[in-house]
Amino acid sequence: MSVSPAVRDSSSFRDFEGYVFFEDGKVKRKISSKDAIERMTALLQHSVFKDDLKDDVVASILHGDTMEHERIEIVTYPYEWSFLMLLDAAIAQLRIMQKLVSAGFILKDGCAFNSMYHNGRMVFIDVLSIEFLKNQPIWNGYHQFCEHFLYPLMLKAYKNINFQDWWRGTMNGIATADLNRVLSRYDWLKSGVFLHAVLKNKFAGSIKKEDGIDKTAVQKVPASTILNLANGLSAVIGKMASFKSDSMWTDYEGDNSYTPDERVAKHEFVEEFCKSSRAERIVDLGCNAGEYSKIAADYAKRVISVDYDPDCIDRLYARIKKGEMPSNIVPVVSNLVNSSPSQGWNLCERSGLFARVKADAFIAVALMHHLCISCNIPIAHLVTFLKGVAPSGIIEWVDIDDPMVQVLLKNRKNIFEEYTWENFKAEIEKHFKIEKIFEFPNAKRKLCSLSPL
Amino acid sequence: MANNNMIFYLMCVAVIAMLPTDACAYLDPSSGGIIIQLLIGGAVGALAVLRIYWVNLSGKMKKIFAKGKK
Repeated sequence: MSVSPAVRDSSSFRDFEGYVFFEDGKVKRKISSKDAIERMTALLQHSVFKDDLKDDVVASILHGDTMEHERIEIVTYPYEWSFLMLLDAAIAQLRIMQKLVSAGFILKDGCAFNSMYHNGRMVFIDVLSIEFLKNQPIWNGYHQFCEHFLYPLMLKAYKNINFQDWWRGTMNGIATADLNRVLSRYDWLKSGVFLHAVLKNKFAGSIKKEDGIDKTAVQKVPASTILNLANGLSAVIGKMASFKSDSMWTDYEGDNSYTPDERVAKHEFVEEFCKSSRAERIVDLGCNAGEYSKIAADYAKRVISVDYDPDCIDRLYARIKKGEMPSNIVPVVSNLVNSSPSQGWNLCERSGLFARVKADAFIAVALMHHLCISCNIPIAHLVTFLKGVAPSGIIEWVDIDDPMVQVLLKNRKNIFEEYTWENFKAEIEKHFKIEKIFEFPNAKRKLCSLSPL
Repeated sequence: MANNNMIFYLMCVAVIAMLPTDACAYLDPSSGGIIIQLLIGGAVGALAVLRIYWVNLSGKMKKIFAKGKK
């Protein structure tokens, strides 16, 4: 049996106590200091880890100086999560903190990259960032937690501003000073804003680094401070859970141009493809709230559901949480015309979305007119992109005379002479074999199932 | 309890009004987070915050008087 060589995770370099690597399809963590090995041994044997944290922390076992973690097949980043996903990751980290502190441990930091979406839940993955509490009276990760979790959540819940693009831009959440520039005096009255955003910013702005903070003063605060802080943050974030925002796309499943018969036919076509293709991993491009992802999830091992609208992905995630959707769906917020790139240190720290998401098949229904008409993506470019995503799939041709395309063209000049069924078919046939075409009897649309040439 | 919270917030507003907001040089972004946690730590923490600002203020006063003597 061949064993694949160990490959170090390019994003794992900030913690000097160890790093993650991949070996033979497994996720492992090398621990480089004796102290850290002793600490991990104590933690993994502790009942808090074995019992209390088992639902919130990725399953891990220790062999000498190497820890092995349960593999998370599809990695997504905080800037690809919806509001509820980030909220659940925040609540989970605080819950972990509360349990750890009671057992004499603490989280080193408050980093959102330490959480991941896995089988319908937000789980904590960075076990090495758990350390002994000792006599530490304050949480060093509080500032980072605010910028990675609390402020992006406030931005959405209090200002209805989507945080994903901003988060992706900084790759470090929302800076305290920046959030304060967005907040009005009225926002100061909203839960958590005055203490955790306004005061925190004012205090930070009033102290020069060279003045420092008197360490003896810090040591005098009571040991309950960290728990009080975690409880307070939990209460603030918990209140935000009731926030719900709608976009023009969130009601699309119940409000679209298909007749009930056409919808049934479309469902059957997608189902037949998913069944016959035997694709293990399917990516649903422009998934909306997951209508077709649900069908695909019955046949594929993993379905990656991508939509640019965070509110649609929020709906999808909420349905997965409620058990209305299968948990093998991975919801992702990303705009296909500007999907997450490779970025960070040396452009290797965080990989691009489609470097992570390699699929066996794609579903691209009710999508291409948005890319080709709204965003001027040439048909040839779209087809090349799809070929890069997966070798087979389903695409829905939406004619220029389709009522929805006409809406897109209403206030602009029709410059899309190349956008014809003949050109589309010719481009498709350069890269795929068209297995089947279904023409909607009363609509200007066609469904095509595609296989490799 | 509600009165205590109100007094706490009023005190904070008063403190904010007195704080300089344009600290120059290198800002330590997490210093605000430490002070918030001191405040959450109750009376002992609040006294520690006052001490930090007293040290800060007295340092500035010394500089001003030192300039005056030149």
